[in-house]
Amino acid sequence: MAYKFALCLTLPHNTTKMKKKTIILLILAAIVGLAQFIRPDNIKKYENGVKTEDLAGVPKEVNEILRNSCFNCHSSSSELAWYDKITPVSFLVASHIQEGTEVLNFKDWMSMSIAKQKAVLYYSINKIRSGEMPLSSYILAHPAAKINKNQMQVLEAYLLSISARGKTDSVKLKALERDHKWVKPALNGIAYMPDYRNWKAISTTDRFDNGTMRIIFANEVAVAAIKAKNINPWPDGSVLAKAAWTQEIALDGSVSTGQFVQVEYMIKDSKKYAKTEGWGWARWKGDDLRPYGKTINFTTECISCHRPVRENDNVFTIPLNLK
Amino acid sequence: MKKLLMISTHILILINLFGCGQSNVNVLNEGASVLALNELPENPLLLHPLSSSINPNNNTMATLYGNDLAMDHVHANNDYDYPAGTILYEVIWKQKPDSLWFGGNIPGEVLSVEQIVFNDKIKPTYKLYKGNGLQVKQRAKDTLERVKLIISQRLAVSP
Ligand code: HEC
Ligand code: HEC
Repeated sequence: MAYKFALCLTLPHNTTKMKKKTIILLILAAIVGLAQFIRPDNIKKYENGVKTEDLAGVPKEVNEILRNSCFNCHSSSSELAWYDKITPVSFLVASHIQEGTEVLNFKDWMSMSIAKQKAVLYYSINKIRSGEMPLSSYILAHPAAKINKNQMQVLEAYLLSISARGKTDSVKLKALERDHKWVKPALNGIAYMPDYRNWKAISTTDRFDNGTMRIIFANEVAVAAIKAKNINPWPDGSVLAKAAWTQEIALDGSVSTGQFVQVEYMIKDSKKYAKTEGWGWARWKGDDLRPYGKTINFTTECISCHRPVRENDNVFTIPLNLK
Repeated sequence: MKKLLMISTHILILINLFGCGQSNVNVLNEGASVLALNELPENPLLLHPLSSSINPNNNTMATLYGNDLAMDHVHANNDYDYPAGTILYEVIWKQKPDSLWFGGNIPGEVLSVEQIVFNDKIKPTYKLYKGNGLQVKQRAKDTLERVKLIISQRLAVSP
């Protein structure tokens, strides 16, 4: 608007309206043309990058879908459309690629463990289901990247086919250690809460995607909130704990809780934890209850995956009615 | 007066349609809850969860609940000689897919509740609650087998 005003002022008054328009268009075209000399560095790198190989061990149809819809932002090689390379679009594209490859790069597929590969695919399919991926701004310009129903079915069928329930080592029953003073706090300072086994169960989940089963526990404040049907948002003081075990399979096919995997918490305090969606996040892994994460930023991982349910105050579980 | 009443009911309906009611639709998993006790002596879902199991052949999942005595016993002992006064409940649900996470199943409707009470007698008592409203049902013949199976479940061990 301001540009146009400035341009009009500098043009002589006797030029006709038509002429004015052409001149403005020419000037704009010149600006865009000149701008092409300014291009994001990394876009050149991506254009000429080595083509990321098909994901080993994954069927061709699945590879095609991911390559077509995701690789442009989640691998080191990008097959860009001509309009992706035009400034200023190229800057947007480059920032998406940069950010996308930072969080997930399919180039690293071979260096991931089988379990990690499976987890990445499940995470991906759930990001597609929630409509977060591919980014909607990207679909606008690349409608073919949108995952359609058929493609979704291909992905789901494949994941189900690799998620047959497996055998786990049997676990020794051991007396519970009551004193938990030895457990280190999480990197964000949250202390371990040993008491959760005395809380009420608000749900159980059978996670066939990674062969675990979970019990989700709630402390008294959270249970009171459930009774009052006042859980969106959950009141301050609510704590949810989720404990996971491996699935142990008996000869008759029935499944029971095997080895302890981890326990993780969401602690509601809308002020203290305002920066992390109003929840304090923490996880301890294994029988030695190692605090999870490498840096204090491990919580961004929790929040990203819980994002599809932010309308439910970031909570996945739909609790049993505990009246 | 009548007019006033009509206007106010209209306003109420409007509030209900567009107001705060909407966010409460799916907040709780009512279908998987014990909403009315009927013949049950207490709501088992309010007791301590001891363990959990899945039967993929029937698409069911179960949680073993116990009272305080049961909880204390399984935490301190490795055997299944529960003391008199122990009450256990095995609650079985039909599984349903988690609508919020592809890759998970969560409890659907409650199929049955089985109660086991330990008393001074040698054999614990067994009761089965089943069907709509969870009425007491007679179990045909394999009662003893069921009791053994339920009692032999191990505590889901956590450090
Ligand atoms: C236009 C670029 C773009 C495309 C195309 C795209 N993504 Fe993303 N993706 C991103 C960006 C940027 C992020 C990080 C920010 C965010 O989470 O919104 C991300 C994040 C993710 C994450 C979360 C990773 C983490 O650890 O936080 C997953 C999983 C994911 N994408 C999967 C996919 C899948 C599967 C597809 C294809 C169906 C896809 N993406 C297509 C740009 C893209
Ligand atoms: C890859 C996705 C993913 C990541 C990453 C993740 N979660 Fe979750 N989380 C889930 C899902 C799905 C559920 C629902 C229960 C289930 O299926 O096990 C859940 C449930 C929970 C619950 C029970 C309350 C609820 O929301 O249902 C807690 C507590 C929790 N997560 C804590 C954490 C913490 C702490 C972290 C980070 C250290 C984390 N989560 C990271 C997917 C994730």
